[in-house]
Amino acid sequence: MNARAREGGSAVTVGQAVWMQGMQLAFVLLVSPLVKGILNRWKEFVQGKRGPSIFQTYRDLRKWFHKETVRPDGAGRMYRVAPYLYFAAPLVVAMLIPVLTSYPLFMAFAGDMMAGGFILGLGTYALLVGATAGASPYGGIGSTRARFVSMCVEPALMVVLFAVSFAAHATIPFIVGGAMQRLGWSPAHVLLIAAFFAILLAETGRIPVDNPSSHREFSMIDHNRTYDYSGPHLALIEWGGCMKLVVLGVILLNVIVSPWGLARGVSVLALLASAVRVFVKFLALLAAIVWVESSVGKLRLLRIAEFMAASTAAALVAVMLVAIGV
Amino acid sequence: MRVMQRETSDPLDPSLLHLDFATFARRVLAARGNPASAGPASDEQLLFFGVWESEGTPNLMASIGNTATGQSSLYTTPLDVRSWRSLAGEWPALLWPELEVADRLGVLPAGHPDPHPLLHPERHTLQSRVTGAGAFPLPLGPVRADVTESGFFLFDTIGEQIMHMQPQLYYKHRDVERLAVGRSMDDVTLLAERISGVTTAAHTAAYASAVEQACGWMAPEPLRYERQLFMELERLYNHAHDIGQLASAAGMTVAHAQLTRVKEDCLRMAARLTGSRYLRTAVSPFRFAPVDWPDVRTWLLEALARVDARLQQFVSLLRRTPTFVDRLVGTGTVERTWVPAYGLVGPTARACGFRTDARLAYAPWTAHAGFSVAVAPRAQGDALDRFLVRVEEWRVSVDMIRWLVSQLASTRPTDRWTPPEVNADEARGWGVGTVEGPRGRISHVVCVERGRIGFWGVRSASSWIWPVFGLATANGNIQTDFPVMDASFGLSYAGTDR
Repeated sequence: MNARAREGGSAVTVGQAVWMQGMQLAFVLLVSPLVKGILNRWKEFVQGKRGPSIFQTYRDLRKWFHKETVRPDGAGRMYRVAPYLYFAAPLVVAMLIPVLTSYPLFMAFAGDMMAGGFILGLGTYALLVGATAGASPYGGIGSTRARFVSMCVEPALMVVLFAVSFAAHATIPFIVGGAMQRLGWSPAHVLLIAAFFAILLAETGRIPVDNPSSHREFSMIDHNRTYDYSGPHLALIEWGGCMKLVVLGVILLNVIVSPWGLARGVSVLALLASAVRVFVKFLALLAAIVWVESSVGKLRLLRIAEFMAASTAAALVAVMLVAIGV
Repeated sequence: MRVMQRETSDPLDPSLLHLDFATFARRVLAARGNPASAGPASDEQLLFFGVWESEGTPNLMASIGNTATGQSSLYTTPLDVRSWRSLAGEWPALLWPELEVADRLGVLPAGHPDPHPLLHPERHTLQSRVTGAGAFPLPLGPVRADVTESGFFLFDTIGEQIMHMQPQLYYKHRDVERLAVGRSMDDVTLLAERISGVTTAAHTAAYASAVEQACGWMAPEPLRYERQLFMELERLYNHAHDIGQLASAAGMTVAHAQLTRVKEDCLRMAARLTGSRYLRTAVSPFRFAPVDWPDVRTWLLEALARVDARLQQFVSLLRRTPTFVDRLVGTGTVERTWVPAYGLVGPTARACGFRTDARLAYAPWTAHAGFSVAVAPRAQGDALDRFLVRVEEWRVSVDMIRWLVSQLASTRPTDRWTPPEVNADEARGWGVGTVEGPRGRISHVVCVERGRIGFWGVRSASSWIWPVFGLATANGNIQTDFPVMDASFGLSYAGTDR
């Protein structure tokens, strides 16, 4: 598998690989708050409001980094570690996936899509444990609910990975992207895209699974977990959440859909042009998310299982279609 | 002066009947509805239950309205604190009113099923009532996220399932009724406006009609039209708010934003009409609001058509959104038997299929203005039914405002009568005013002594519904649906706390 991938890749020196990987990380790190800002602004625009500036997320992050941290009495070590793990996980995954380049970089073979899922899951798990280590009962409630959502998402994610590995005979993101492009707009491909889009909505706490703009602590899932956090810790969690959206979006757009628009050459200009094209792809994804969030309501908690079951079913059908070669 | 008019909804001067406790108890319990039938078993309903301190001795007082005649009676009995027997065991509707009396006097009635301090949340900590493996008490409030009033809820949960819920109110208890004693009727109008900010017109209208009745004065037709118009406008913005909150609780962000806009437009209509967004100063005893109705008519009808079109558009979108309807079906169900047992009123009772509306009994003339009772056809008593009742009531209120403003605009200025000389210094007597506010029946009992308020009793709609809110919340629901239930009831805290 590695041998095949190396054949396809261009000759990249170690030095080039390092700065290109650096650009990928910088893209995820710096553009993710903007993605969130645009999403929020568009959502409010659809509601008939003007909405906050698209740069509001940056301002919020700066504000939180300048605030003090208030820690509940008796909060354990996990409580302190959790924000860092949650922040780091999407960055690690960003090195495994094709963010800007169509050819693999030096970390690309360190882990496959399964590993990416596990690393993201580790960050989420750290936050769950951290939230339970705080003092608020809502942290615990948010954690159990988030656990329930993850439990529903996992089968769907697994079946999507099966389908992908059937189609691409690989689970390394760079190779999968190429295989998906060759699938074209076949039914199996469309089903996989739909299934992964549902996973993305669930994992990032969007409607119909969770309402990110709700203030009601009793029905929250994701935001309940951050109730005790403040200052820089809160900033890390919020930033980590933005990056998680971008990383999952990259997997959807550049791997599951198609690696269209990614840089083929090795130059700063090529990578910058690629960054612009990926950003435009993101705008399309954001439009789809806004469309879903504005047209359906939040599901009852137990209906989330049905929603993810639909996603699993779509992925299962895709597996069968790939297996019989449609 | 005494003006007797036929078709009057508020007959003059209810006599205060002094009874012994046994007769008093019998009279009060006679107002119980029949749990078996959807309609009221008797024509009587309990409007007010409280304590009246007359020259230092406490008396229990109850006002009972007759829905057939629209008349209200006042009963009182001297309260012997040693032999005071609780009636709440026989009629749960009296659970909270009796506790209020108990807190005012510092004595508990014998045999009260759930004795605890009600008026003073700082003296009482709610205790969890579910024990065993997996049971987990979960507090919410009194300070909560979003712009909301202060109330504390103690949930007993097993996993997501709500097993039991106890609400604790009265964080905003101001003892408004006692502040009124000894003040002039006009001063107390200001207090009545401030009982609950979102029910200003209804509370003031109830107070005004009680005071006018106590003074032996009958409001002329245009004045009643005017007050009804303000109350219907108040219903519009309250219902727009409640429907919007329900949409928000179910995650329907666009509908929430647009219905908030509808509410804002209604508030601006109120501001343009009266100078106050929340209709303060619009209603006062014996007086018209300074509104030039012929002048107002055109723009008011236009603005009304605009808000109506927007609300109908988004309500129809909501009704066709399966995810929204799914959140509402079977959520926070009020059992039919609870309606007579707790004396439920307003949209909450009508969602269970009960035809109860104060306009029906105490303002029968509104039938000419296009009023009809909005009863949920499904009669399941869940969040969906409360939503549908509000939608239907919005439509009725819009029709009523159209009719009322046309009538008011066509009243020639000469007919617009100047207030008759009510000799305030001589005025004395008892009065009961009952109106239908946005959340249900609101009753005020007033005693006027030489132009000053000697006694003031207030029962807002929400105070009848609050005890059932906990039961409905624990009626097979899960925690994440609590915001939907909360929004579907849309209860007022300040109106209950007073």
